[in-house]
Amino acid sequence: MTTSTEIPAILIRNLSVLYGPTAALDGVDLTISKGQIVGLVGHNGAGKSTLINAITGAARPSVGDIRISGALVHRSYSGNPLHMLRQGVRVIHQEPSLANVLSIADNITLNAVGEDRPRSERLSIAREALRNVGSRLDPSRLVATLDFGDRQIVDLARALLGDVKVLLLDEPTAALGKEETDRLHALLLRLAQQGKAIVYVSHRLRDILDVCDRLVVLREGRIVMDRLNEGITARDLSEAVSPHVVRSADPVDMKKFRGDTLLKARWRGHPYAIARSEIVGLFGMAGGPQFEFAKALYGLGASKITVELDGRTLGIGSPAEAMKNGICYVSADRERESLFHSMSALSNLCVPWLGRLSQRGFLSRTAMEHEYLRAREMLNIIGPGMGAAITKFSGGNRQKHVLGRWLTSIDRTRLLVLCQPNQGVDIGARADIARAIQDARAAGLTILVVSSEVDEIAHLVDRAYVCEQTPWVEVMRGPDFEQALMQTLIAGVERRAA
Amino acid sequence: MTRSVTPERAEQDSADENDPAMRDLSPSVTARVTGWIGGHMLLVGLVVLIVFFSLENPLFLSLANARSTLRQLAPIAIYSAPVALLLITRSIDLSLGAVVGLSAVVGIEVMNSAGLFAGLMGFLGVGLAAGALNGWLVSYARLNPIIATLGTGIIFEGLSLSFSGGKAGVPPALLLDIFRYEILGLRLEAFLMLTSILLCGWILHRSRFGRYLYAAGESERVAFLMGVNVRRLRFLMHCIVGLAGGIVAIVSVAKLGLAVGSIGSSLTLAVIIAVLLGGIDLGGGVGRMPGVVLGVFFVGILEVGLLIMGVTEFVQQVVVGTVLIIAIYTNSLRRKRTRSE
Repeated sequence: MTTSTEIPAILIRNLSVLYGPTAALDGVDLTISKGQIVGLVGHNGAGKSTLINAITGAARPSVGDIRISGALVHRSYSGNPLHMLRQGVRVIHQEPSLANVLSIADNITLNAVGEDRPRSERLSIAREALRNVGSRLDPSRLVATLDFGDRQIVDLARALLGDVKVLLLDEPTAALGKEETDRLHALLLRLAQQGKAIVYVSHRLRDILDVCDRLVVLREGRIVMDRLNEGITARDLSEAVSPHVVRSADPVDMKKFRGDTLLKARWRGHPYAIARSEIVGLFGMAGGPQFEFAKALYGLGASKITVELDGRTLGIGSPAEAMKNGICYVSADRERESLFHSMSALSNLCVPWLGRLSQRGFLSRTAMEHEYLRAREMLNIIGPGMGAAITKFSGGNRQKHVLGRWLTSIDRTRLLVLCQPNQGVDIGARADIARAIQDARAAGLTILVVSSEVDEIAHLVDRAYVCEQTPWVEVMRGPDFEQALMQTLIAGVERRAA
Repeated sequence: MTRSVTPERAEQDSADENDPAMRDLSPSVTARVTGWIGGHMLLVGLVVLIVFFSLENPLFLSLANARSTLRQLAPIAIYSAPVALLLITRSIDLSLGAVVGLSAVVGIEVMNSAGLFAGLMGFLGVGLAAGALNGWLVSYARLNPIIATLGTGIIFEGLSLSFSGGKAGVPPALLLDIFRYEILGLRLEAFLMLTSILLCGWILHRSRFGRYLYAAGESERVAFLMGVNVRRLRFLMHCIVGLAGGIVAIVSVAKLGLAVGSIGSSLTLAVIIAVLLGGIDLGGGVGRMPGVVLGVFFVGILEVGLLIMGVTEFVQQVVVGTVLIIAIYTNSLRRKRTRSE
């Protein structure tokens, strides 16, 4: 496959990238030859994104250098996308970067060859580019009318225009279905045969194993595994990504916890009850009705909801009212609905309980720090320290801060509503979060896990409601829990369609 | 802000020293110095300004001049501190000067007919009412704050001119005497200025209300989900700024010895420039009180210094505008740098 005289597509020597005192990458050496598909895996915060950014010039190396086809990625060009294009480097992000109000053809030729040609010529350039990626989409269509998979294809067609040497894919399948994923993989294999070097970043280990020739695992900024994809199982890979991790929750003796009824609520005409110290899942499709119920419980519904909590009937019309009654909520959109990006980790954690953390009007730094240390202990928060900006933490550790807000205050919290608690969270952090949730339940907290991810539900809960049909269908934890959940979901979807 | 070294910090520091690789990678001394200057641009600029003016005219550094400078910038300082808090919640008030004018003409009328105390309440009451109107329009009627306060500013200006009929009100001698009384060589306005800055600084950095201000400015949605009543917060901030306008009106009338509707007309821009120079961002959620104090002093000293140099008002305008643009530009550069890290 590789001859020693050939110039490698990517040559990285002793690369370190520092952010303040923390090293995001620490002495990385990596050579990728033409025609190779390299799978890059690791935790959030292991350095994958930084490595991608360094190759494109968007992150500045502190030490070491990067060569693309022998040419140094020059530091003075850092972050200049035009220079990157000229070097033949293309990046595909999770979200296609396209202008929705323009046609496919306009998007493909935007700031590229043929931009100033007449419309007919641009259409044929676009048609050709689409054919290269095996698509027969009409290039005059507006991008806004395309579904997600097709947008990704257009993004790819656009990226492959011109002389491409290196293709970097950052979580390309995160939002794709199985069929679209297979289509993408077939295309990648073809591109590799044409001699392009491909770096494929994903959390989905199965995707990586399916398509890559070689597997590189990053941990804490270092390469901890670099092997050809021969005889490696998903288990080996996840072991390399995060060693000593408990993979599934220990079986829980539910009877030990199940107490009296905590919450009684009517939803769409049907009553549901949740017992104290229970962990109950609400499972359904992405964007499904389970999220509406979760929002209503936190006063975010279209109208005020009335529930019976601890025997008291109360109406919930706003988050402040919900909090006052001990109902807390973690949004499914962490970056937009949970975090203050310009604030420190400490402030982010303490915001909901500042009243309790003040003495005679003064915020007590000691009390806040004490609170933080408790959360850190509880959730095993790792990162640059409580005074650092929350943005300096990895995705999993940010999520731990969001959870920590409520878990440190169990005395004031009765019901915790968690939407997609494992959103963008790596395996190691998932185990920490699962453990913290179990501890909180043992301390008397009741938890609703609201999700569209079956493994998340199966991992965390005692029992679950599948919310795809009314009334919801209850599924108890047992052997083949995950399968039972999926079957109930599919049955619900089919019944609704019928 | 001094902070006790937390255990984890101590660990990190010692780890840095022990690890030769880390030591090699830590920034050099020159990089640290330039970094510090970049982070304290305004302070450096202020020092340069003072050195420049005192070389131009040795009288600039005299005690008498320091006192007159302080008197000059007192109204700006009293106003800037609460306005900074308002901007941090991502709102703004363009009726600052008009509120002062209205408060002055109404307050002096009350004072001359009903006595000193009732008059003072009149000043403050008008300011508070104007602030409450602004706050209601911005928070509850959900108008864009720029448009809402531009509109109320015009209304207040019209009201004060029609109320006074263009005539100047004369404050009673007692008021002037109060503001001439000195303690430790400082007049009342200096103490009001100090109070405003310390109080607002305390609110911003030491109380939970301050944390909520930042939270609301950074992300209204997240703050709402954390149970913060963002609307009431903004309404309150507008009320506080209005009240400060009343206080500024009292100080300005005492300083000038007259109450006219146009008494605050130069204040709106001066205050907003001082606050922006001080590192407050129009986008909300950013900035600190020490920066605002520097911004106020920068504006005040620039004004007085140019005056002493005998520069015409028109050239002054050119200088102030240029300084503002440079300051905002360097602020945005700095922010970009910290973001990209």
